[in-house]
Amino acid sequence: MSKKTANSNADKASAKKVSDKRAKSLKFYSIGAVLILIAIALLINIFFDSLLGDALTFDFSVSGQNSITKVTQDYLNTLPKDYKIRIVGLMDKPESLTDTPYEYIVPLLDDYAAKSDGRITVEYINPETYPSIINELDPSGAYDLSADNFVVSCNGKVQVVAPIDCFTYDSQYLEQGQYLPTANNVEYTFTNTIVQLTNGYASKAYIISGLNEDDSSTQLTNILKALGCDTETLEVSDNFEIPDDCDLLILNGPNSDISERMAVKIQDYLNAGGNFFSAVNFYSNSADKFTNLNTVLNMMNLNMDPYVICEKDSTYYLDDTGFNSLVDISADFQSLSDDFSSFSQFKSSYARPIRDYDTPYSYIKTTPIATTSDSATAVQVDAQGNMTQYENASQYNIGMYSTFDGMDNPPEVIAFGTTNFSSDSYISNYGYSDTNVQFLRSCLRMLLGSGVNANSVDVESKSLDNYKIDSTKATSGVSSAVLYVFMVIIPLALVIVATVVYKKRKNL
Amino acid sequence: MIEINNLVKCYGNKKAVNGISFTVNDDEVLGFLGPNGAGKSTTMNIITGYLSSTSGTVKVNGHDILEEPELAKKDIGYLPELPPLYNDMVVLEYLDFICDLKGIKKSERKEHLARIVSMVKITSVADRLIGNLSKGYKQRVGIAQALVGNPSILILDEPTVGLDPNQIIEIRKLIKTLAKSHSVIISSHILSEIQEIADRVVIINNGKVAAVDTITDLSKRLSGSSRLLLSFKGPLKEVSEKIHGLPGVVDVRTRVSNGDIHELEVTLVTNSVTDLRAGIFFVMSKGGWPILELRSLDPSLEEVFLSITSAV
Amino acid sequence: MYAIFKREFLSFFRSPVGYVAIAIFSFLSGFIFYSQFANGKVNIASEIISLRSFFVVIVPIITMGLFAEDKKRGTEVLYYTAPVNLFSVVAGKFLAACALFGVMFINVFIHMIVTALCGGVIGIGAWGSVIVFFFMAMMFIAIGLFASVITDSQIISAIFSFILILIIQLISTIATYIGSAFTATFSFFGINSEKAASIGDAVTSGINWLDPFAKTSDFRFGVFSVSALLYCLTVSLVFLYITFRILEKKRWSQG
Repeated sequence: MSKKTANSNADKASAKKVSDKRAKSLKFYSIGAVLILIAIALLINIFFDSLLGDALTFDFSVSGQNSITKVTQDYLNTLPKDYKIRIVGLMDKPESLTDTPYEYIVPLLDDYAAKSDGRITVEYINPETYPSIINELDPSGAYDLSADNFVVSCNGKVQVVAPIDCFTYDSQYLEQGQYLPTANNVEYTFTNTIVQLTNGYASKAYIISGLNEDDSSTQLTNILKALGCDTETLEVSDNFEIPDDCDLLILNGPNSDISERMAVKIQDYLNAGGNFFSAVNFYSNSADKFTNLNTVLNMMNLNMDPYVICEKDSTYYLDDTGFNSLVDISADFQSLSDDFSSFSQFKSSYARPIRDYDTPYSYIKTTPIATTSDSATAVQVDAQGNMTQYENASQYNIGMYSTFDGMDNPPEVIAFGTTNFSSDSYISNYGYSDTNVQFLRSCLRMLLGSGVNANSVDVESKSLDNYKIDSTKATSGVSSAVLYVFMVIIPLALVIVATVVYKKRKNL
Repeated sequence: MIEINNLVKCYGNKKAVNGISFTVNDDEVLGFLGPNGAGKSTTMNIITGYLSSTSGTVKVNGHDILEEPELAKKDIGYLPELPPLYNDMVVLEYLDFICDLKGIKKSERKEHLARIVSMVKITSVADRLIGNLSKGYKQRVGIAQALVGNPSILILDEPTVGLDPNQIIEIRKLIKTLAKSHSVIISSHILSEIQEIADRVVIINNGKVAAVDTITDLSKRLSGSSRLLLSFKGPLKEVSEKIHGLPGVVDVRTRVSNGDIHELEVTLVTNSVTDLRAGIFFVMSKGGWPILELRSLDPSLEEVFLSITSAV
Repeated sequence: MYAIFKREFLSFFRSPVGYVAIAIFSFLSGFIFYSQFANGKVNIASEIISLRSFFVVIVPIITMGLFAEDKKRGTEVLYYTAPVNLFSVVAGKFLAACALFGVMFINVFIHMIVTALCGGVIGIGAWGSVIVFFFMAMMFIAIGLFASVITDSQIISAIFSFILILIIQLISTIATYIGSAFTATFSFFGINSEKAASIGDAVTSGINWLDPFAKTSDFRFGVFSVSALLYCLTVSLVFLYITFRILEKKRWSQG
């Protein structure tokens, strides 16, 4: 009996050993397999992320909203590898980006950092939590660093970029105090800031102010700065003088004439080889003949007539009035520089005709820039708003270029009879990529000549994704229909179908 | 044909199955008996691949269930104790799903299912929701499921439990029909049922095989010989001598005597092939003595079962 | 695998579960769409992104029954005794749940059509969000499937997957807490506070790396990052594999 139990005990023990082994080995295999799989999964992901992650990231966004363009990339590559650019957002890193300007800023800044090969760092430090950051960035207290702005710091210099400056806005909404963005200029702003901080300004332009202008040429300023040209306003005064460092003098959209003194000073400036850009339209200033301005222009064999051009050839129409029309860029002007070869037409609005004056000096060379069709007419408008046709159908210039021949450093003048490319409202509404605005840029570049920053970067602005729906189709009726269908009808229908199916099957 | 070799299944320290070995031959019905908790369901689960044994092998038509599971399982149709039915499906939908699982080609399906449905006699409920069927029909659907794919081996765990007597007879008939072309392992508590259907039985107790044999051989083994009981009206001594004289009779003993009605116990030689009941009849009719009762005294399966399972 | 897929997918529509899930999705997505529509600006990408927060409710409802019910009904045995591979069983159920999501998503496609008819813009960002939606749905469904297989009770499985998905949605918050906890502990042990802070930050970034929402946040802007999708895929595969192993384990269990 005892032997039997002893045997059976031994049996049990040995069988147990076998069973434990097989079960144990399976347990190990199972857990091991899972752990190995998790490890492999982690490794693959880390490997992919770090090595191939960026290479396999495809930006399909139509405007490449969150990627820097080749222009910026090429510029960054020209900088020394150890050049440090520090971008600090004086805020907590925004978590929810939707419907805020940060939607276009935060991801793009990340792209800057990612593609700069270590040159650019992007941080978000809230000055309320870390007040020392203000001191750190601006020890001398020279700049106005306030919360919710971005600070670009490099080359020992600092510049503030406000999110609001990174966009252009619809001017009509702006008049009502609402900000409706029309273009995404985040990359434009940040890259140009970096360029300016790094290279400084190569030239300086003065913009005349105080002649009842419609705006303060903010956008024009931005464009000049992007060309590496510093700007400053030059106030109208009894002691009007043009500073020595003026590389380009600008008169943009005045609604009243310059003074006699100003005319004299400008002529002196031109005789000394200065450059002058003048854009005057025919709208709020229709009564003004701009006599003094014409004194300046006459010196360059140009004259701006007190009439408005009315196009009659319908193929040039931009609207039925004829005051808004297309004009052709003249071939002669195009041949002046490669910059202009891609422009063939220009949108004009309420333009004054510019023509050759009758000064027969042979050293003055004028070139028409933009011409109407042969069927355009010039119209005179009196104080009551009555229009009388002044001149008959022929070709008119709305912009001309004039310079002196055979001189070292000759004066250059570009005079336009319209502000439909240099006004804040136009540039805001159409954005920097618009052909008129690009044309403006090329004209300015030409006038600045060697004053254009060799390193200036032409960054395109990005169009904004516009999610508006057509309100003529999306009426309130459709809207309610949407509400009822998706929130009431479909769920209800589904529940009914569910009940029906359920009941039917229950009784099968 | 199934070969089971030294199956062991441990649950912690307890051995639910402790070294079970037996074989199931082609086209035979094997009865699987044992008290509750003996390890019947566990063994069946292991054979079908539902559970894996701790040690030991199961070979189905030559394929090891662990090494070539798909080939082995293709040959098995299993009806577990709780039929695996989806109550939210209609019978035909369900069977179609089973066809999908077992890999039956779509072209052969309709005919195949029609045949099974009529064999199992569920044609009248084929379009009804399984959840609405009675237990008997549910059981039949379960059997139908096991039959899908025409596997050579059927394993049925308590197929008639909960059925009414009519249904039970139907099922038994069905199993007998199936046995003609399939190997069937059927486990049951109803011994009379096993007695009727099974060719051989395996009796399991405490996770071990207690006995494997045909029923007749089992009872013979237990009793050691075959015995008949004869109750008649007539002269005791004469009849006893006449019976004793029949070939194969070893002993004749009187059990009860009541007037001229006597009860004799006739012991036959073990392994006796001839059926002596015919011989006895002729003797009695020749003598004109009416036979009141003639039956076998061999231990019924129940007695076999009880004695075997109580011995350990 | 196709057999299981077909059965599970159809069973969603034989019981109220499927219809209720689609109804809830339609209601929620309709609400988001309508509020954008009524304002005159419809950005499908942001609608889809907002829908991701509802995963935490919808996924458990769909996946809770996928495995838990089988044990109760006794139909588990079919998976083990039929000549099918257990992994294909897991895959079949997984795909059925994904297909249900596909059906629910038809709602959003209808929204897109309405938007297009009303002159709205369906930018590349919208398609990016669609891709992200499905990859993340796959991930969460795999997790829900895992929750369903470890228990017999549907309710417990629903709660478990709810908690898991919630944790993933809150990874960034959790990361910050854990990071600062590390910093506090290290400072407590006398380590230089700057060093402690940097350790804490490293921990935070490490945990944040696991956040699928952060990885896929750029898709709505049209920036497609393959590695983010790979991440979702691998997480799904890992959970599916674990589910498969657990199923296997049941067979080998020693009690």
